[in-house]
Amino acid sequence: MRREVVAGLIWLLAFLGAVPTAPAHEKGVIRLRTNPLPAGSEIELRGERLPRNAPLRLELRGTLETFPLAEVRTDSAGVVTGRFGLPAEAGPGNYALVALAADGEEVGRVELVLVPAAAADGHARHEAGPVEPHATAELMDVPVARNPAEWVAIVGLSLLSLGAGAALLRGSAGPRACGRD
Amino acid sequence: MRAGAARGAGPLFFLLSAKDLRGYVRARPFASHHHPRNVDHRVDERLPARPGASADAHAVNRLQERVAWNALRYPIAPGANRLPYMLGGLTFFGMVLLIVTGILLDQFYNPSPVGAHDSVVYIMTRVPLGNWVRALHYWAATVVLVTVFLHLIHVFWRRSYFRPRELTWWTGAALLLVAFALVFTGTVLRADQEGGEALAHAVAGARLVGAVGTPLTPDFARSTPLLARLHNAHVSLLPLTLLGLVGLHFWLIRHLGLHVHEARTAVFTDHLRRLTGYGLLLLGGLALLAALFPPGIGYPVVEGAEVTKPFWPFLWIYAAENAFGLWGMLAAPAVLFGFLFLVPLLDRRHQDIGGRPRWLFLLATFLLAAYLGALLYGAVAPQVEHLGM
Repeated sequence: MRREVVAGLIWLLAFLGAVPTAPAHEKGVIRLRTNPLPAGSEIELRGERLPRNAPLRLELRGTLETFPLAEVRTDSAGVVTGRFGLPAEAGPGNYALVALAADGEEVGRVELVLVPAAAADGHARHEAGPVEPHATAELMDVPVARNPAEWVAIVGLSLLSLGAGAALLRGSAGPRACGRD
Repeated sequence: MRAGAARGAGPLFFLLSAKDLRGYVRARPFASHHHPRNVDHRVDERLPARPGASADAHAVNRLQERVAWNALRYPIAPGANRLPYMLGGLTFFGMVLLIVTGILLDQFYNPSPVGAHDSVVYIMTRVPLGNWVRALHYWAATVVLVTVFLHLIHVFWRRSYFRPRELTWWTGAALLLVAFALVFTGTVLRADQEGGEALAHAVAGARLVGAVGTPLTPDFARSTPLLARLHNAHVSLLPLTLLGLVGLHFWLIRHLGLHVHEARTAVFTDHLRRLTGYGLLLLGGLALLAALFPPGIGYPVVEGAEVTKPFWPFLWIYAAENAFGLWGMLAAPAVLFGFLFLVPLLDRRHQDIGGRPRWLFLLATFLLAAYLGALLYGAVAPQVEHLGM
């Protein structure tokens, strides 16, 4: 058994060792001047220790949506600064502003929170007029798509559970039989 | 592998081949020389490392020895293998399923007020099998509430709370309370209109009872939103309490048994096998149910509005609130759980089944009818505002 345990450990180490861990690019740092921010406003950011003289794509990634922000280029020190407009259609919530290298690898990230415009600027609410949200007991129409592989997994697990359960019950002694041996 | 050897595999049956499994399920539970009164906690001597036996048998045998599997072969009452006596075990099975699916869901859930609703939609639409896992969580919670109530009624009927099993009953009642708290916090975590209104009711109730309710108000900790604290309660505080109570409940059942007069002629491992069988049937059914009828989610909460009715397990409280206002929301659970607490103290006459005081039986029947009636009324009654918003 000891040999089996040792062999198992070797396999595990080999598997862990095979997982690539080194990124192609150095991870940079992105800082925002203000955070949280209202949707539709401008952010002022400064990125450092990014790839030098490299084109970067800035994206605003929310839980459900992703918004492209800008294409920028770092200087010879790997620094980028600028002001960029946030999409007005982005809903309030938690977002990540990510910088992507030309090969798509993420080289920098900063978390930010978008708040409703009225919450961030009390004047805006008066200018635009209050927008009363409509409360409803109805359920959302969420587009849930399940691919065939998921169906196979679900039905497979169900049948396996039902089969194993029935086999266990059929093979086990019933209440009357118990205690008679 | 011989059938006798395969039979010792227990939960490791999935490691065996189909042939082994057939032998496993066909084997009689115990040979006559293994009467439960003579249970030996050492490794099963029917699984010797004899020449010709397969490597699997040796591995299973060794594993059983190291995890003291045979310690589970203690004697129990044979009646425990009937389905009504397995309702508690099935409830526990459902709880395990809830914990597993809950851990998966929590990898994608965001407990911040601005991100919670979106993260639930994300789980439903973007996470592979996410909508199904969420549905499984929902249906498992529903089944747990049903089985735990049936278990409660059965235990009351059998008077299993009688001396010296009062603590077993009280831990069971406390488990029911924790289960309700878990369902409530789970509802709030959706951060949709129904969840937001449930939270508003809880805060109003907490303010009504003064200092005792302070932890359920936003003022308790300004550094953390109430939703985040309820999430914390849902994934750590309440499950830990639940598992502690379950452990105590099982310990008491193990050592005090189910009834006063019971011959312990069956074996727990048989019970475990049948319970696993029923549990797997339940899992299979729930998996299909979750795939066919996944629960939806409401629109993000609009603070200050009251347009929904609560999740069905709380409809009886909703009915009491309709009748008696906010105090009804507090009084209805107090009456139910107060009664459950008092049951072992009120019934101390005889140990026989027929010895229960008639008035106690009538009172319990009345409360059950009131509970079911309130549930039904809550379901059909029109939506009413309670918070005066």
